Amino acid sequence: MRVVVADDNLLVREGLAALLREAGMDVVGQCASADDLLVKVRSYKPDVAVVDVRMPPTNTDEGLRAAREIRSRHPETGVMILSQYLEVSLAMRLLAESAEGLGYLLKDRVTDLEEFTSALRRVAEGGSALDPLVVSQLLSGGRNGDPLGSLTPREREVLELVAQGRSNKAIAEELVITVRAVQKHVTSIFGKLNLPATDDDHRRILAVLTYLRA
Amino acid sequence: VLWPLGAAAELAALVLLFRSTGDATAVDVTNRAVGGSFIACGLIAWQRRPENRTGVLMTLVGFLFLAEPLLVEVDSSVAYTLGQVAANWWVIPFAALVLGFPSGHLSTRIDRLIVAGFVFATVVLQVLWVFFLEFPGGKTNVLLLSADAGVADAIDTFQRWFFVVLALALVVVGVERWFRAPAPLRRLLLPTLAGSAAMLILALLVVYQLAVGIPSRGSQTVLALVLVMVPLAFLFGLLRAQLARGGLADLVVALRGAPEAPNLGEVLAEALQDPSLVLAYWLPRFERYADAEGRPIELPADGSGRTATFLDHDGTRVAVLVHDAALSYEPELLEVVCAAADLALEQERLQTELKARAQELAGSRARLVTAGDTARRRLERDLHDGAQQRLVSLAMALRLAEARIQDDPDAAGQLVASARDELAQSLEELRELARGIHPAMLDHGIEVALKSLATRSSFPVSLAVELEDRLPEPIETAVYFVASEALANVGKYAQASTVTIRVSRDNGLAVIEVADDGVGGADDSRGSGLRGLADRVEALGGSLAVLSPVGGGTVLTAEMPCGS
Repeated sequence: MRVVVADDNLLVREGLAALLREAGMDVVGQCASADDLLVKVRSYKPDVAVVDVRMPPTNTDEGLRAAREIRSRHPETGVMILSQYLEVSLAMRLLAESAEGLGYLLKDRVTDLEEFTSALRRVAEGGSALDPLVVSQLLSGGRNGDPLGSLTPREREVLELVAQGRSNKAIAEELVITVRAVQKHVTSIFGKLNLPATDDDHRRILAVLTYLRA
Repeated sequence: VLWPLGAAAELAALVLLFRSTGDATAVDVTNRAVGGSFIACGLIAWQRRPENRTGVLMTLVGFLFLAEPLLVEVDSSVAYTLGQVAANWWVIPFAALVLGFPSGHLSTRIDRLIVAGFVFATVVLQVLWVFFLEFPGGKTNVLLLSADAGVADAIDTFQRWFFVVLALALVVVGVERWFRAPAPLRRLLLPTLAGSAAMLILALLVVYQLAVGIPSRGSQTVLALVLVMVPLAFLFGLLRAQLARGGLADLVVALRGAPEAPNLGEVLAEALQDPSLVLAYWLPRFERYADAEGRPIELPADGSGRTATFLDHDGTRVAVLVHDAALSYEPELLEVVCAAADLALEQERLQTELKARAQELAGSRARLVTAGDTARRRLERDLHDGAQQRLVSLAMALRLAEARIQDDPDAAGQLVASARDELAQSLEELRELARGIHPAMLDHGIEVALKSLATRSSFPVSLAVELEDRLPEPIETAVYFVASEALANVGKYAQASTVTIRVSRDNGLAVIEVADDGVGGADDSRGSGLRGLADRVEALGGSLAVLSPVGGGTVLTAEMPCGS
């Protein structure tokens, strides 16, 4: 899998590249700015770009804007946003438009190499990845008469994983249950939350995120 | 002296009246009493209002009124002649009294003309008349030039008509003045009206005599009665406090409400019952008066019927009341009203000051909040770009080392070594950050903290801490940051070779002074750092001053109250 890494901090960028190579990925480019990132994505056409939210010159949301641009101009390249902070509303704004080929993870996640590469692969293949902390924050925002309260603990676990962008198969492996059992839970969850049933992973995460955001 | 003199004169006049005729009528008695009435009321008025000429004029009227009856009784032809000459002199001060009330001063030309006319009629014409008059009853006229009844009669007739014209003119002026006054002030001018009425009766009496040939007994009676009453009216008019009582109560109530600039003038106008009253504020910058809306106000000219009363506070001109001249003759009332106005203005000034202070406070509070936000944002950025990134890369380095520790121990060892360096640097950065948030050295006292500050400085700093015991914690913190910011500024701009920091406690004030020998020219209105320092110091009730002449070094002084 071909990867471009964008982070203005040299240590982080190099460390990240070293880790990804360690995981057997092909780091085809490293960049310290959003402009450089766009150039490298256009020339190398990587499967996925790993992008820091804050980059020069303003150190605010250059990474996010670059991510949107990559997604609209180079749909074949997935984007994994890395953030130092838990910025739930930022993540939601980004993913709720289109979760396809897009991920948002805290920077710390990179040290759990297996989880990180699997999330990267998902995004590269057009799927989604949402940081577990973001998901649990969304789920903990209790609303009055919230149908979330009617979920069983198991259903809640499944919902969290769905919101993180995992497939039924991945969820089944994680929870050590059968794919059929996961399907059953998902159907039940969607029924309880009054969401339209769908088999499409992408539409599924959008529906869930839209529900949680409301 | 004048009291016994007046009493004696009146007594003598009455005694003589009874001795000479034997059957004195009530009218005669009343007529003689006029003099005493004027003298008594005049003396009272004089005593109570020494600055007012009304009392003097009344006393003069009284004595002149008694002059003729007394002089003619003296067994001397000179005195008799003088008595004849002076018979009507009392009319002069009487006219002045009526026209000049309430001050006793003749302020307009017509007033002075009328009084001058009376002088001419009662002195010049009278003397002329006496020149040609042969006194009846064998009295010798010492002024007799040539006895000529025809000439004397002609002069007498002319004098009488002239007198009538003057009297009517006086009546017209008096009544007109009364009508022109604002309604509430008319009460004040009642004596003028009464005097005019007496003058009118006098004129009618003369006309009647001229027409019929003999004096009218009835009108003489009325005249005598009116003349006895007139001085009472004047005295009452001068001393009464009626107006004051009602108006002042309203004033106090109104001022207790909201003494705001736009209606203070109205409140005062009401209290003084003068709708034409204008309150004008003194504007020292423009050296002129202006009303509450800022329109310039000119002070009234003399004789315009309007007068200015000045309001001063602690010797400084504050405002002026421009009002009807008649009010000047209620000095006590004016004084009380001015005192009330002064209080109201002072209160207003304090309120304005308070508002300004509150505004300043809100501004400094907003700046403190902003400064806090800015500091937090900087802190966050420092953490984000520094320690956090280092820790992330540290985590990644350790993760890589872990992966290689089996098959490439050398590489893993290098990674661990670089990770250790990273960690040391992270710790140093965190320490720096923490000191920016709160200088931990302060826990050991301001002197220790300032010493460590001085040690870290790139130029020599001499330190003098003259404190016997520790300052309150917020003051210590402020002193520390003043020193820290000042040293940072010296390093940035001053090009100084030495800096002296002196901390002392003086009369309940903690004082820190940072002086350098650099280029000077620091401007506390420019730097946000100095502004932030000033806010911090002012928040503790203190003040920050920067003395920085170009080329003369910079002395920054902060003083904060510290309880003892």
